[in-house]
Amino acid sequence: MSSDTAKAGALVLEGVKRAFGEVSILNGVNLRCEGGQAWAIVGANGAGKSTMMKIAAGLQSPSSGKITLDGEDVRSMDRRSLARKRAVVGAGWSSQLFDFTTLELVLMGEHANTSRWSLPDDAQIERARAVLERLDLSHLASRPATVLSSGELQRVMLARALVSRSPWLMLDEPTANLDMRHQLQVLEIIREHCRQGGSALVILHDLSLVEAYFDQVAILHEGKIAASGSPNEAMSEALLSDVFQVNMCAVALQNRRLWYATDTGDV
Amino acid sequence: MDAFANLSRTTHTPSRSSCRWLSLLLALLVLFSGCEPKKQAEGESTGESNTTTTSNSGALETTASETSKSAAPEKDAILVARSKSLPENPERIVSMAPNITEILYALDQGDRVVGVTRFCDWPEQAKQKTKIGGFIDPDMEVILSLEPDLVIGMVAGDAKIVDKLEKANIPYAFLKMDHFDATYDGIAHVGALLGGDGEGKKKASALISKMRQEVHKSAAASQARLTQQKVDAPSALFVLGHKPLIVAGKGTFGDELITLSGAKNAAADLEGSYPQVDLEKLLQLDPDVIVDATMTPATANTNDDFWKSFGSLKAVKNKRVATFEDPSLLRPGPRLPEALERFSGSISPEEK
Amino acid sequence: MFARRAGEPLTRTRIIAWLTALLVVELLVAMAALAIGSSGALLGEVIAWVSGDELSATTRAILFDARLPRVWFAAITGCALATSGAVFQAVLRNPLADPYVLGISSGAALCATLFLALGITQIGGALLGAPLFALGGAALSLLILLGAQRWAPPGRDGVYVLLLTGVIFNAFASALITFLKAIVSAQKAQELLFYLMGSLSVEGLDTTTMLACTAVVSAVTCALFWFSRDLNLLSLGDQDAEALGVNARGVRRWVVGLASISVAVAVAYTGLIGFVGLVIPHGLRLLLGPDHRLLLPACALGGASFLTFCDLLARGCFEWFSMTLPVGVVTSIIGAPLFVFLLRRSMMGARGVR
Repeated sequence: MSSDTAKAGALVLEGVKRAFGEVSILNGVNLRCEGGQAWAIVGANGAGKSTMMKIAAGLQSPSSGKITLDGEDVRSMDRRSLARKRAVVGAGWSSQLFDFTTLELVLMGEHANTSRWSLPDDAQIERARAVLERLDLSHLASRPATVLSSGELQRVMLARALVSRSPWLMLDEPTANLDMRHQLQVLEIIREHCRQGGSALVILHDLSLVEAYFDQVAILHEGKIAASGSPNEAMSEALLSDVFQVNMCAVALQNRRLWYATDTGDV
Repeated sequence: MDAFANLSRTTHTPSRSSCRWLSLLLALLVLFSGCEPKKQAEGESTGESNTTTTSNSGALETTASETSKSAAPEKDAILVARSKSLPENPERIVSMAPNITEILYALDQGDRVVGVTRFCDWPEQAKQKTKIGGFIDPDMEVILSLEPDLVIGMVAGDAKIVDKLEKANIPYAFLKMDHFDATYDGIAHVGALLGGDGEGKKKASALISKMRQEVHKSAAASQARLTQQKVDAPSALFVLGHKPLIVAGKGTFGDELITLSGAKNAAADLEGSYPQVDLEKLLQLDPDVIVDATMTPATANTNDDFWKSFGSLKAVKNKRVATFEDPSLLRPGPRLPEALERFSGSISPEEK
Repeated sequence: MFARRAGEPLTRTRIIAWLTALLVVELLVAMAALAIGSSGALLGEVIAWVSGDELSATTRAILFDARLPRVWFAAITGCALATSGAVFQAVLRNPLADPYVLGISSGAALCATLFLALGITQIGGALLGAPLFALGGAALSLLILLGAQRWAPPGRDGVYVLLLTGVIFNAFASALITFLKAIVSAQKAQELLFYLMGSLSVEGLDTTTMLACTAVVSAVTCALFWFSRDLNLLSLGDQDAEALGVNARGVRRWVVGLASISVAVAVAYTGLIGFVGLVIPHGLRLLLGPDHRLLLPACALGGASFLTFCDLLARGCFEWFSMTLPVGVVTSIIGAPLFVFLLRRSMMGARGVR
């Protein structure tokens, strides 16, 4: 799986604004994500993280601003080229109309890599099975996806993204609905993906996990990037308390911090 | 704005794609209309020309006459459609309408009939013949399998059957009979179609004169009774359906029965051959007599309830609502005199 | 071995095996339909003919003038309806969608009904027929539909707009048709009923028209196969499909347009034959899996076989009813219980391991 991942180029958002009618969601987002980096996006609910991700993925257009992936304007690329460069998994998008099996679903990730009349060959099936194995989903390979739990479905979508061999992974809350073990498993896979030259843009809520698994983080607040950089640099108690409107406290461990929130002032 | 339109690389606008579809569909229409004139060409080659008349008969309505080699009758207002050649002595005849069956049997040609519709129930023997389907849904295959020499039908039936018979090279004749005189002419035509060196014509003439005599007798008798009872042309309504309430209008068989019996058709001024009336209209018309063809002796009692709801009508108050027991008598055929006999019995009943 | 049980993705072998099987089924059913009819079974004669013997003129007429057009048209119509049904179910994301849900057929039926009711024979010198009116009606409905798609929002809401437009148009056209039925004479009304019930009485149709219809339906069906993979992905939802590289809106527009043409041609000549477009896709999906690369060609062949079979029954029962049943009645009588059976099986399947 990982050996085929091409090197990821840079993702640059310049002056991205997005308004829905009167309401302005993004007010000028400027962000530069180099290839090979694992980026986490944090922010309050409704801050516009999902919107920002959809715009970065080229699925929505901004009201103004520019997004380039690997030097090319995302909006000027045709869908297939874009799909080859980035794989995006949204939160709560997926719906199942027909009972494709898990394996068939995962193989759909190869859509942009294969021609219209081709059927999955053995190499592709092997690769897909390997990805499923990596995510502890092998036993579900022949099951129709309609009977999967939301957590299992989440991981299947990630498997599909990995199978597409796109250098950029854009994931909206990939750890939602997952138990502890699988959360760590998913984040480990993302980290490995980036180590091998790929890149990831991940929306996450658990700040401790962000510290543990991501080398870069961007904090979205009031429609702008309030801070970006390594977790150490970007995440401060003061800023985060402001962003989340709650008392954020960090506890220092050996090589990273552990974050928790309290209502009252007690530490 | 539409995100996907921005993303799509093809620069066509939505209106352009609609235009593409429109032109594709127009091309299809042209393609299919190109197939239609062939039928017209076929029709012309077999001597049928279509005019610009609009009527319920559709493609069968023609008024052009044409000479034929045989002594068979020409096309006219009664013989509305015929194949180019007709047999001299058809031995195997398929009837496509109940009244045609009745006529054929009345002309003593029951033996020559090989196929009838499932609605042909008179005389009894007719029911034994092979069924070729219905009035508006005859089955081509069964007709073919009977290997008929001649197919006789009524214009009001299935319009497509003419084309199918043309293609199969089966001789056919379609008649239109919508009043008494037309029926006499129709019977004459059937007689002529039967050939047999004029045998058919002779039998037809005999039947026609018999019918005319009986009709004349019944009409005269009925009018005499009315005069005797010092009733002058009562108004009558001939009811053919309850829900909705349908009556016989001007120019129909029902209308003629009324006039021949010496009465006036209360619905004569209404539009159409079978106008629908509601209670209001009915009260306006207020006929002296109502003859109801939807009731049978079995249902007469229950249908009395129906007429009770029209209690303010003269005819109901005076108990002049009569049953016309056998609507099948109304077919344009040999039983019309019997229809008149029964009908006039209701218009001018014998004094007790 | 070839059934879905394997859980393996589609292979070339499976496709070829299934399509060959379905083709054989269609050929057998077609032969049976030629052999059986309202005037009796001609099995002996058919076999004799196949082995080179001569036929009597009557038998020849029965086989080639009366039966063959019906069998041929049954195949075309069944193919058009089943493929369109499958495609509409995918593109409209609605398992209850059938070829008539978008109202194209209503428009066609309405115009054909108008023609039958008014008895118009000629307009400006050209001899017109009901089918031409029907095609015109279908064209009109398609324009309305495409117009609706233009201002429909993208994604799931766009699909709802499409569906609603179809439903509303269906209701409107039905109301007009009912009105026409009420104001024409009782006999015309029965004629209308026969048309609307759906029938395959195409015996008089000339070969050119038959070939034209075959050409159109085949072309459209093959064009629909082009979109098989896209339809697979569309079933995931517009966002996922777009993310994977499918132009969801474009595919939807093309597919709706193409399938509507196919349905329009079928309806123009045969009226509204129900259940084929609904039951066949579901049944085959249960048997073969939802992958459209196999499902669509299978529906084409399966639909043809099913309708040919129903036509066989409709004609074969002539003896008892003294009429050839309208084929729409047979498809409903067989299709309804079949549908319920399939539904139950798929529900039971969804609950457990397959």
